[in-house]
Amino acid sequence: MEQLTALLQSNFVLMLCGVLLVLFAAAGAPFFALIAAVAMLGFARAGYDLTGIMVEFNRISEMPVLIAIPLFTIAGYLLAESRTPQRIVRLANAAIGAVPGGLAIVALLACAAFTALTGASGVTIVALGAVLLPALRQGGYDDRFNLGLLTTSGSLGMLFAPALPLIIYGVVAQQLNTNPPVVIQDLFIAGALPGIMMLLALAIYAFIKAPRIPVESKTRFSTSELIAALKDSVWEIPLPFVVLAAIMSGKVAPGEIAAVTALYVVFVVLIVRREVKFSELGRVMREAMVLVGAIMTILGMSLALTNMLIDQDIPTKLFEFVQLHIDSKITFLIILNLFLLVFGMLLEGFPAIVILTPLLLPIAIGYGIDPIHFGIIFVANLQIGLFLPPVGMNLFIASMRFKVPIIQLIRSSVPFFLILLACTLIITYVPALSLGLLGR
Amino acid sequence: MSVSPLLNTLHRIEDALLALLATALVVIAGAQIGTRFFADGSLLWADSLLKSLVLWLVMLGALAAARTESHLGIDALTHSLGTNGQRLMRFAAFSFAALMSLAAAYYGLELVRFERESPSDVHGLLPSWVVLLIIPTAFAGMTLRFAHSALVKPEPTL
Repeated sequence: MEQLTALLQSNFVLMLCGVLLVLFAAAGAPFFALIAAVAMLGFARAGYDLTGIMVEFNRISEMPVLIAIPLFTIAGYLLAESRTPQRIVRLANAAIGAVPGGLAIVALLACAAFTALTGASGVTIVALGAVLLPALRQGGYDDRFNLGLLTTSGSLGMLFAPALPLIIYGVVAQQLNTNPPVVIQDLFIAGALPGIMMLLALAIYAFIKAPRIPVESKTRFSTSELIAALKDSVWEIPLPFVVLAAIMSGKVAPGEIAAVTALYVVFVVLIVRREVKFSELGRVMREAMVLVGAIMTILGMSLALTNMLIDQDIPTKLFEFVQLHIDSKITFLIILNLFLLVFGMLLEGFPAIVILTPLLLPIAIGYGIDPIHFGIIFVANLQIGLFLPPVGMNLFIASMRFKVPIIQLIRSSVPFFLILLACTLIITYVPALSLGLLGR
Repeated sequence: MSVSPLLNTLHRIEDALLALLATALVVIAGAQIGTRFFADGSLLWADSLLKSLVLWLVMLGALAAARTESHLGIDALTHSLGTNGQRLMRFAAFSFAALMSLAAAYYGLELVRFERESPSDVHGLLPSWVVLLIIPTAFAGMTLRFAHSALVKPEPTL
């Protein structure tokens, strides 16, 4: 052990390890293993007992907020298996389907609501895509528009409470003991206006691109259909309101919101609607827990990494280095946007949050950026990174789901990407949009 | 993939345990909120139990993810390589994952030993070191699964 500690003092050895890890990462090694390796190198170099890494890892079971991750994932997977997506689409269609572009706006709203509740955006494309694509085609929309819309919508809603990216950012940011502190409920409130702006921008585009087809084939508004759809969705409608009311009250912890959501969803899907049979429960739960295991092992190892980085004073050193080269806040924000887009694409959401937050947040605070605002910038960038060519994850998921070549999806997504990029820039350079509702 | 009956049984036990614990998590977390709001109390044992459940679900989930090769990593860069190149990359990536899992299993066992000497949580139904045993156990299982993935040819993806 002491020899290892001595060996790791050499910059050459460290560099060699770094190069090896980059190669393993490029070969597709799991993120949790890569993060564990970096944490172990850091612990060994400082001469600490490596058991400390597992002590830190075990903290995933000690943070009360983290219970929200398995609970929301269970709720999301069960909803995706049920006929809830169909009902959401029917209801939204009955309400605003007759407006020009209404059907596309329905798709946007349904996807955003679903992603907010399930967090993992890939699920949205899989669960809602199959319902929405035929509906849009039938409504006379151009297929290029449809594919772009659905690929984009897969990550829409990450800024809305109680989406997991905001919770995970909050958990990691809290490890850094920032001033002002990062409160997860504040993140939920801060994400609202930026998220609504993104939805509005896309809705306006959908309105412009809506097909101008003869009136007789267009959906007509019908009060009886709206009432029928309302009755059909009577169990789904209360859910978003309960969640929103709980968040707005500020008295209910995210873990508790998740517990109520999961219990309610299990009750409705399994007992009231019986759309998932008890015999299928095992499979659905396993699929949900595979995702939870994958996310939370990364998070656990990153707790050890963050601990090591802070112990070694690395964020401060990084800030001093960056400050030598970047003198203004604006320049820093521009570079931050580019950096987050590329790494958001490569690291696929959750890993990007746990790996980059401990490194970037202290720098951002050094440039006078509020940690809550930074979290919103971060998630907004990740959201578009998820379908950024060439390797954004949602492009692959959509390609599999819709059986369309990726190159076609990339072409279809360009206008949507540009719209959301413009929104992300506004979110970045207008802090009031995120912080206004918090009165900061 | 053809698996031996023994392995098949093991997978089914694993899946059943995951489903059972996940359901327990939902029910107990729900019951705890119920008591807080309607009986103005809190269930001390439930708090401790929920923490243990989260840990077990994460570890069993991670173990299941290793079985289906569902751990998150950058997989986009190897698509353009030829068959041999891809096999080499697979070997490198999964051997590394196996090695790190082995290290995590070893230090996880150390953690269990420390916990046994000086327990940190006395509210649980089980001694806390027994709860922590899942960490080395799951990482050891993941070591085997990653090693298996490193050595076998990938299934053709659809």
